[in-house]
Amino acid sequence: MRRHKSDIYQSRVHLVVTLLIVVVPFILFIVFAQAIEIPVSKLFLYIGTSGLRLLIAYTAATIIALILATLFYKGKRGKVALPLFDVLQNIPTFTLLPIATLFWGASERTVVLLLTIIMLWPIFFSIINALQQTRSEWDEAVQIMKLSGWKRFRHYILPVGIPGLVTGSIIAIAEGWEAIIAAEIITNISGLGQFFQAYSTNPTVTAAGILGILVLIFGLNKLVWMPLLEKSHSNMES
Amino acid sequence: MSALTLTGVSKTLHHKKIIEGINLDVHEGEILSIVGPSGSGKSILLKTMAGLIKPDHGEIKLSRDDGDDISFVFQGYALLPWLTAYKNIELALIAKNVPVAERKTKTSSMLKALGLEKYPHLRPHDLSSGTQQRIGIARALVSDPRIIFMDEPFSEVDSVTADILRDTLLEIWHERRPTIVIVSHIIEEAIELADRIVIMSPQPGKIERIIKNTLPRPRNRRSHEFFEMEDQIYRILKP
Repeated sequence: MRRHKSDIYQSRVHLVVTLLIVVVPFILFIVFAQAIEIPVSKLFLYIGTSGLRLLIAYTAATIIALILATLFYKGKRGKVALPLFDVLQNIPTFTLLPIATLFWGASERTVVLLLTIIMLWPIFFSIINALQQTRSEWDEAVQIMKLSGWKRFRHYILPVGIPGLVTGSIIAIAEGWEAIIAAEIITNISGLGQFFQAYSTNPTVTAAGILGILVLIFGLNKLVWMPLLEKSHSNMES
Repeated sequence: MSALTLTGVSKTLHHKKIIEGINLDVHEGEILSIVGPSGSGKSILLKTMAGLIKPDHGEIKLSRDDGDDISFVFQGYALLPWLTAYKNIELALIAKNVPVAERKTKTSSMLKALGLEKYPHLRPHDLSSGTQQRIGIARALVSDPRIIFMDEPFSEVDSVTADILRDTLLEIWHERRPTIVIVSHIIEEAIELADRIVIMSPQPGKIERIIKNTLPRPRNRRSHEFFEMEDQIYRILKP
């Protein structure tokens, strides 16, 4: 097990590269903040606010996806529910934005709710996909042991579902960045969206901002998701 | 006293009758072997007895009402690939709410009993099929169940290891007296282990005969009586 952990960072080069990927955007942000003459703290506040919303929505989406997937991945319940979820995920989520705004106004809550719904589907369907790979012999072994309830989830469903959770998270977070910027522009609340809207007339700043976000997302992928993906798949080798 | 009773049990899978009209009484504390040619539904019968497969007709009754006190050694081992050897065995105890300290002692002693003490931290895909099979056996024995179902448990180990494992199994049986139902395609193995041998005939799987094995233990594979029983079973299998 220890060997696997160190495998994630195969070499010093890898570590340096990943560190650079994290450090470089921050330096970039500072440089740009100076270039466009807004306080660095404000720029970080934009990123922080949006990042936090994303994190809250992601956590909520993950929990809901895990619960739904556990309930519906197999059996009669699944046969009824899965096609229904398939239809639901096809509803363009932004159509819900006016309704949500009607209830809660152009608020934090509205944006987070929207984000949660958008991020839920890729995570949910990826977990379902992973859980459907369970072998009947594993089911039988778990059934004989009478592993049930929370223990069944903790020791069986979760480990099998994790590769799906990771794949789904990669897609969800990517969609999440897109959605949060759009939602913040539409609702006009503070965050990255507002930043892009405010500087939309300044192509240099906008381009720099987009570049910064790309670097951030790339860094997150390289540093967090790829190692997790590798590890979760090697765990399932049989 | 019987541990398990089957009355008129039948199962059809994919429009094919696999087993038909099985009546069988498994006695408490006995070792019962099921032998028969491939296609005689031995494995399906075993899984039906263990409650993994629902029969189309007939009834299966456990004498005591403790349905969770059973275990199963699967032909394909059915180990969970993300868990180490140790964790795979320990899971059987976790499922039964055994306290941590007791889990440690029991798992360690079971690893030792099956010669697995070198591999506790390795995962199944890093181990040979024989070793995986031993982990499967250890997992089935560790929780000290009342009935143990075994589906060709020694098929993947070499003959010397199989001998050792059979001795280990008999030791544990002498000590705790669980009921053991074991499917085997090796006649000698059945004679060496079992108190009674169920001989099945194929298509659909039916019980052809049940032979009582009263040879004294430990059984000598080279004794006259052993060979005689072997001949008797072969005659029933190949009329």
